[in-house]
Amino acid sequence: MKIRRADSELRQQIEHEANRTYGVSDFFSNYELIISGEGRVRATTSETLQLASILKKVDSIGLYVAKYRKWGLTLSIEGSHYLCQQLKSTLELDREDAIRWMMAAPVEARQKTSGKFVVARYQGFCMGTGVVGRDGRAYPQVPKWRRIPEE
Amino acid sequence: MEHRRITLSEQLLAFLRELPDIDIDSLMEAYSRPLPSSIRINTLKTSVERCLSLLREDGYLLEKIPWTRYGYYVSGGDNLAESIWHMLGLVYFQGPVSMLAAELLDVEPGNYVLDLCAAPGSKSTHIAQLLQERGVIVANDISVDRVKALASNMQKVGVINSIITLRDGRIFGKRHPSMFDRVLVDAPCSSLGIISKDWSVAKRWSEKVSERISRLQLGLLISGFDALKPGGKMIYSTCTLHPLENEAVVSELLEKREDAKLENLHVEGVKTRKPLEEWKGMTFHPDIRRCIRIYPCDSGAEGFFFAKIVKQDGGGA
Repeated sequence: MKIRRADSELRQQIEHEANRTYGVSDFFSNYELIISGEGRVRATTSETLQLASILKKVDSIGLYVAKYRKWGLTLSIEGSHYLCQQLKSTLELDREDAIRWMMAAPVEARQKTSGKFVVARYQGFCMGTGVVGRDGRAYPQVPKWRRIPEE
Repeated sequence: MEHRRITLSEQLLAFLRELPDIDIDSLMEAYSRPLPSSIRINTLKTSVERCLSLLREDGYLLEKIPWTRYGYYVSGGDNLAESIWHMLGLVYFQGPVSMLAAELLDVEPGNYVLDLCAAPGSKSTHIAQLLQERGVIVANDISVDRVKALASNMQKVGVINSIITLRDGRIFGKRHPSMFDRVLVDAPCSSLGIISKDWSVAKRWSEKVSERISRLQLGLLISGFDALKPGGKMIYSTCTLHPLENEAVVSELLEKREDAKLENLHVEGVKTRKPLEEWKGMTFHPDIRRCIRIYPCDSGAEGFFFAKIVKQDGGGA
């Protein structure tokens, strides 16, 4: 695996987007950011990256925290978990909607959302980004392997 | 608890009868019971207290597994595997005795730890939890498909200080000697300790299977030992009962690496058995008595073998 570390310019862009979209002022500033396929942003520690640079046949490093594309920055479940305390606004879900969210089914965005992305929260746990559609519903970006199976 | 009728081959029954210090009826009884459902609470994402409270609110009954810090038997409630808490990575399903591998490794935050045969990641995620985000966990496996499962589990648990490598574990130590503070070699094995989980194991097993795997296990164990820093510690574990895959492998390492020493193992809360000191004309290294065996009939779950090896300072590989 070729390790592509985010340079300072790219890092600034991602940080800016994280701040603009989610109000996050500290986007993994104590961690290294690595860019992998499809704009995936992974975070890891400096010593992990250092050790990875001398190992052979590295498949992946650190934690997938976000996806950065031209049209915006989405946070993975783990990315939102790390940044949960910093998020300026979240969509607070009840149990029923939290289950729907984890099934990747759209959820009514009852609270006003400022942009097209929103992070859901249930019982204090952040659950990743959803894209808010024109119909006012949030479409969760839960990967297939993390979804609660439909009955 | 549900009981199932289980039939073992004559060859396997003959082997089990030859093991000293075991009641075959109790073992068969344990094999016929399904493994208990057990979870490890992921303290990388939540606290034990908070998690217990959330699970109990949802109707789950939890009972602490005595020999591990974060492990619980779980019953009641809806299917926990399909719950929000499992999907969010607050809990990880793992066999109760399997949790001992990481517990016995004496992981300290800041350590560089290698899990040589890591997929699907039960022990690696446990080690990551014990590292508390300090140090590094290198999780290696040889299989592309299994590495995918490993990567998914490391992600779900939220491990930020991890490196996943895809290579033959037998050459790891040669390429990266004396690099790690801790090494876990949870070797592929004939799985005779988890027959109740996978009955096909009992059908596939023959003496030849154990003989063949033991050569692979020795290669992995030597490689893991070579990757260990002087003063570092290693756990060798298998979920099988065959001495060729356990005592014989460890004994051979002690012969081949003079700086390898065994440490005593002591586990509270479950009956452990003495290892075999000889088998079919083979006499094992005298220090082999420091290892432990755990049988399914004693744990009510899996059967395992554990050895703790220390690389002495000043020795040569």
